[in-house]
Amino acid sequence: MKEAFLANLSVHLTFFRRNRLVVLVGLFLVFIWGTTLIPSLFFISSRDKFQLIKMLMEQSHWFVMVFVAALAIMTLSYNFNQRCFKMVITKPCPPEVWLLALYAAVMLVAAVLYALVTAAALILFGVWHIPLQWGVLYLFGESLLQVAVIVSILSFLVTVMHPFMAVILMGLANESTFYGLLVMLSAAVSHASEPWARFWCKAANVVTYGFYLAVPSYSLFEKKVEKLHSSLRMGWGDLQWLGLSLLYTLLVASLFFALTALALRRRRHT
Amino acid sequence: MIVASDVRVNFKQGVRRRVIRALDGFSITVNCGDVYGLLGPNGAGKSTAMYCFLGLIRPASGEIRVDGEIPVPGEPLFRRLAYLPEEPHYHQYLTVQEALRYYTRLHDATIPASRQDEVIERLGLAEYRDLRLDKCSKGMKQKLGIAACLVTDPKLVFLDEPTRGLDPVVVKEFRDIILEMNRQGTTFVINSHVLSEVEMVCNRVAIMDHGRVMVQDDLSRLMKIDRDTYVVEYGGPESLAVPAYVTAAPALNGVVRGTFPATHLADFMQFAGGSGITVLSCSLKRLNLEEAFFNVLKGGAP
Repeated sequence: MKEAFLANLSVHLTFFRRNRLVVLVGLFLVFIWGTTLIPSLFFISSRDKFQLIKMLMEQSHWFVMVFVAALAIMTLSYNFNQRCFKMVITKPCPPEVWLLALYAAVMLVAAVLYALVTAAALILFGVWHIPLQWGVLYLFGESLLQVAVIVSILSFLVTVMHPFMAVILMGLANESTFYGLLVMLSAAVSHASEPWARFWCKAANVVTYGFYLAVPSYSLFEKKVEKLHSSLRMGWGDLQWLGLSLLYTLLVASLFFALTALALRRRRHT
Repeated sequence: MIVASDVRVNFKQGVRRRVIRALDGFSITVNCGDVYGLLGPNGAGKSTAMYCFLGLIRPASGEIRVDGEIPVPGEPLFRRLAYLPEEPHYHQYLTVQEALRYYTRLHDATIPASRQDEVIERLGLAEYRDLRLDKCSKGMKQKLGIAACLVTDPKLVFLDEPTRGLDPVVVKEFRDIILEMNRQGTTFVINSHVLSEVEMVCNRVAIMDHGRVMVQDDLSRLMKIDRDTYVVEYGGPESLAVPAYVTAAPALNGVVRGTFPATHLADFMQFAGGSGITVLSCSLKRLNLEEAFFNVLKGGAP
């Protein structure tokens, strides 16, 4: 199994390297990054340097997340559309090994890109003589865990539905959408004058709350580390949130890995 | 080696989810050492049957056992199997050598690189080993599939339209490879439309139609000898009148091919001696696979 895993990992990485669409997406992200950030490097007052590092990290983390999610979607779609997944499972290689190798390849790319972003931030701290804030390392870990959750959910969705639908669903049915709905419904409940309207709003509120709890969170302890995000200052106590995030990510990723593996086995690969 | 008993596979099609029976009571037995041909018109269920053997489609009812096991994709059973798909569904972004190495590594990590090189050389892929598959011709991709089958020395090989897109030289080479591997004990299941090819390599065939096996028998029994009819080939003047009992086709390259009832053998010999024609061959008629195939599809006996 180890050899099959390594073979799949190597082939997934080759796909990332050679796929023109992947290169285009990568170039597009670099272009946006450059146009957004490079001019601000030249027109900046010294007190905003810290803010610039923060912005650079936030934007880069977001771009990397989109890029890595795109890699996962493209790999899955390619293997399903070109039907080459059939060539894998007609060898003694279970779909789970192939999927695990895909997760590993995507996470490897994410880790390298996040490491580059973090290294760039650390260099800027040094060059601009700003006291080093270890929160950048926390953000590195947190972003990596976020990507793991997103990739695992997206993999499942792309396996059971069209990639376009998967992206739409991922964009709509997330924690913040349901939170927004909850706020709206709570307001509706308190303002409804008719008893039947109040009943339906309450019922909708309960259902929405159920979804809000069930939908996986991409940053579970966002509120707990709000200060860290704004100041990039990390205390030892903050590490507990990273540890808990790790546990949560392992749980969610394992659940969606199992669901995706099941879907891969049930999907017709002819 | 393979036992399929009363297998039924249904597909649902269209908005109204109309049920189509792809396999309807499909039963065959492939023995160890067979080169087994699956024949039938388009839509007969040959490819579906092959997907069932590979576990890619699960039957609605019935049972399939391959080498004693129910096939499940990715399971260790596939260490003993090889599969060449009808359409080359390869990882197009890999080069010929990378693809072969990948498929070999998935199969068995202990196969040395020298064995891969040997197979690449044998199939004439050596000069294209660094060419990406999306730049390769269909024939080259098919050769890669054959190489991936060969390199692992499997016990059982599934070939879905194996010679589609191959040039005659490679077809001949491929046929020789099948026969050589079969002599060494490899069992083959071949799904093909090329009846002449099946005739040359298979020892057993199943003729399918509408998801059912119409006939399953040894090829030698299907291509039986018709003891009531002689086939004769002779050369002679085109204007020569032949006796009424001879059914002759128009001459081709100066050779006339005809048939006559066995009861008229002595009469024909007498006619041949008197008319001055050159008899090139005269033998009892042997039913070829094509004739057997069409007889079965028409609902008759082979």
